[in-house]
Amino acid sequence: MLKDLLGKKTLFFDGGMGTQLQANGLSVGAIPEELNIDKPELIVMIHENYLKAGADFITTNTFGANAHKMSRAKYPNTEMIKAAVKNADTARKNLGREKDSYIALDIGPIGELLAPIGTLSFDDAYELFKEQIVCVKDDIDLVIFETFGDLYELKAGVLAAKENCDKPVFVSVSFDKSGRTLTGTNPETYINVMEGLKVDAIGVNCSLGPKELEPVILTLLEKSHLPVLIQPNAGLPTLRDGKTVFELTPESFIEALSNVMNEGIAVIGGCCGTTPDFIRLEKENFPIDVKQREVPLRTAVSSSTMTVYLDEDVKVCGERLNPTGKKKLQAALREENYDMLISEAIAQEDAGAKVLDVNVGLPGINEAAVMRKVIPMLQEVVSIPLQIDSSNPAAIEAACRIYNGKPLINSVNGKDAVMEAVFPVAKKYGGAIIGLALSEEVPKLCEERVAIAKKIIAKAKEYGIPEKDLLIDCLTLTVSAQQAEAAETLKALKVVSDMGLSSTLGVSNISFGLPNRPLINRTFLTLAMHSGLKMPIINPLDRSLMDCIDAFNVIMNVDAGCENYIKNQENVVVQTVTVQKTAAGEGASVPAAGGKKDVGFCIIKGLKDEITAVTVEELEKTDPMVLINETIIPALNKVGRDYDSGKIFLPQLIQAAETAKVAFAEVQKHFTVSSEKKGPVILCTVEGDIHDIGKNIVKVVCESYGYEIIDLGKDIPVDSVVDAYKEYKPKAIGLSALMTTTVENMKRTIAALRANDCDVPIMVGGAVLTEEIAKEIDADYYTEDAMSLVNLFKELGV
Amino acid sequence: MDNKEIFNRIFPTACRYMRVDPIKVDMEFNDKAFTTFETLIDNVRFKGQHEYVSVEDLLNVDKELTSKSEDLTFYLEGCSEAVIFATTLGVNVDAYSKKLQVNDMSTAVIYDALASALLEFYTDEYEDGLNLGAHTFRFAPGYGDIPIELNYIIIDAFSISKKIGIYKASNNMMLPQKSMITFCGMGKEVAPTCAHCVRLKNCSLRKENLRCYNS
Repeated sequence: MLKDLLGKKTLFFDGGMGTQLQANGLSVGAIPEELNIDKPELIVMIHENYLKAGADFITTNTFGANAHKMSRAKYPNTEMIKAAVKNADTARKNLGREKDSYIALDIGPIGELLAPIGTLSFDDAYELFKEQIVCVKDDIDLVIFETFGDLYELKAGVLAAKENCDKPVFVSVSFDKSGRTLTGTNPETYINVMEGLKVDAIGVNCSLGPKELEPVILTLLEKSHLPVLIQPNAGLPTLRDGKTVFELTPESFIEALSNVMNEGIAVIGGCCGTTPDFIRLEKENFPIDVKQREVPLRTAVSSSTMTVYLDEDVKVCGERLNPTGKKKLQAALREENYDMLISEAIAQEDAGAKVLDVNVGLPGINEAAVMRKVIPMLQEVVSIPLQIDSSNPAAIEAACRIYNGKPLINSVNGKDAVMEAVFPVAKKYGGAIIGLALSEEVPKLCEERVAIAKKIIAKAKEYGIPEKDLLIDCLTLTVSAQQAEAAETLKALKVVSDMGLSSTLGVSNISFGLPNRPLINRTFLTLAMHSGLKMPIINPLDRSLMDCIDAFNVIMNVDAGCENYIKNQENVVVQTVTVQKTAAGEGASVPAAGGKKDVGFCIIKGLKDEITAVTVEELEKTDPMVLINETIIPALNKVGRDYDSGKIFLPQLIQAAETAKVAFAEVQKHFTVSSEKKGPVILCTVEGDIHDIGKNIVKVVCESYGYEIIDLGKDIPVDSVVDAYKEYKPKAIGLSALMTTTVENMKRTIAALRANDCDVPIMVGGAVLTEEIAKEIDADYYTEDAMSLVNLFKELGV
Repeated sequence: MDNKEIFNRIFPTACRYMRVDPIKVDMEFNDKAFTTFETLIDNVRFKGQHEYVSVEDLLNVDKELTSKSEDLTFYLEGCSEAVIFATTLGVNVDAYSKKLQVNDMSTAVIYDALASALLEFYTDEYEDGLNLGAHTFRFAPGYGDIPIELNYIIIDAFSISKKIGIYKASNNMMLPQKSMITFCGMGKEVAPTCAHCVRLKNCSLRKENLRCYNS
């Protein structure tokens, strides 16, 4: 019944519950959900008043009824939820509205931010929502998630509802005046992600009044294909006689909605400050039939804060998060050391990538488990969407589930078994998918590639996946081996583009086996873009490729006024250079600026951008070991002494340490056998403590002195520290804590390590630690700062 | 007030957090700090919320907790009511800090110190904008013997997560990290001086002849 009316006839939600409860004496700090049991007659009366005013929906008094928020309540949360649903049912029975009103189980935010921003895990959030839904799933007509500010938390909620209940799911978030949610999501991104998750209505509520919400409401109406729900506050809150009141009357509230009223809103209600009179006037003024909107489908993927459209100008997908052919990254992934992956991700985003491909496939590693770890890590530091690259459906599913946003899946091909394994995942989590024009046989001609693309599109449709959620990869083959096929790829791109589809290509495959590969890559990229390529998968750190795109955008009139081109190219000095191979590899080294700065000077001055070139030059005439012992270490020692004596300060110390680290990395390339590393040392911030800047400072400084650091991260459970001790057998363990309240966890961690026969020194540090506290909690050493720790390591021979 | 003016106002406080002597700072460091500050400002989405409550309501918000604190009673003694402030720089500041900590730790330290100082500055401005009349200086859970657990109670009681996006994290910490919950008493003027401070006898700043307020 509800599904028949939704989006066709205007439906009415109720108004504010908190406002009504406060008017009936709810005191500061009291828990509204307890009233479901303590004063059911009050709750029933409020519901009845809204129903009499014309509401079609009864929102249960359960906004905060999750187990976390209700930990201080006098009743179990599920009991309060059951009582709330019973009250709603009583109200509609009392008024004979059983058949034409709907009980909406109201679910608000948990009140904690999800990891990686916060500490609550995605899975725990899911379980909290699940508990709220399962206990009443047969007695409600729909679930409404409202007033959410965190898209990720909302995703956990929607999945909990969809996987545990068959009722419609409405979602509604709060936007502030900047047009973003509290965690930075814009309306386009909210729409793209929630449509992917296939909710039944999408909306906005709370935070602002109807006038202030108008831009967001119009965006929802313009860009969403779902029924739009709005529940504004009664204007902005003001203080009158020491009490918060809302500025709009029911009449002025309706007046403020006049611009959007006839634009296709499907469900209207009210939030803070609204009363039955507001709903009554809405019912009198809104049209009976919902205006039907025509919204074009787009090819778009999202992170939590950004949506990237892949059907307009060229967008680069960064290819470097892939261990294929990269020994260091392979080793790092096997050792569960993700620093390199994270640095690469940041570098690619900074270089202009708009999507990042993530591939962690290596023989012998649990790809699904690694995806679950690295996706949140990457999303913590980059804001662009990710492309989940795997041939393992379980890994794709694990990544899509934990991903915050609408992912791009790389890929399916024309084989039925592959599509049948991946399309259900894409459908469930709302991912866009790359369809690779490859089947049992490698296609040679354009027509064969297009035929496979069409097969993929048809199969996707069977799963309800629109063709706009597909990007076709027209398959790059190596031109040195299959020369005729390169032109076929370009032809296929043109056909796919003419079909109105977006396309992608891994560009650099084209040039394997040929000299001066960049030239072939650049030329192929330019031709491919001209044939309609929308998303080249390339190395964005390769300026020559990125420059090609800049130039293409100028010539094709995409870069209006050549603005972007000029910004990127104005400082480029045009030279005619003949590049010849050197013994060390391709290209020649760049001389140090001015030619006078040496490695020691660069470290002392913290010239991180110049140190590589200077080190390379110095290594041409100096033995690596000599450079370390006679230049780098003395320079670091001078920096350390200057810091101790107050001549330089912490930021300069760190700058020098980071510079030295770069120099070390360069020197290490010149050792025929790997140089001896000091350590390893385990570092972490203890359980319950999310402040890790101090630990990170220590890490940088120690690494600059050549110590291998195993960084377990922040908020690390006691058992995980013990496990790491057993696994890595470190020479020392460093524990950090900022808060007094987490020192207790530090003590527990040390006790657990001792109980497991830990015989290496345990150092502690952090803002609240002192020598005395360190003794009290049984640590071996306390160090005041990073330099003191390095000095202690030297003293102990770690 | 333009960015340069705000920077000049908060830089000495940020230096104190970095244990940097502002007098010894050279132009290079100053320029780097200002560039960092401009990035910080781009990431800030300051939000503030205030609530007027009777002293009785504030103490009743969780009697078990508030009754443990002598300092709370001391500061609010003689006040007619209290004002609760919740202020935050928003989640973007945390996110960018994390990114800096991966690839530029030196700047991350400066950024973090500037962010802390900026939050205090904005909170002062927010308070000034309310024209409160006679009031005590702001103090916060965790200060003196005022239980830090009050942060959680206040966040729930005044729907602070919903209104401005300050959330509870484990161990009574809050997110975003650059967030504060503070309160002041109304009806009597008490300026922030060491003489009025419960930490008078064991203040580490005082031992170094430094102050946590502008004298």
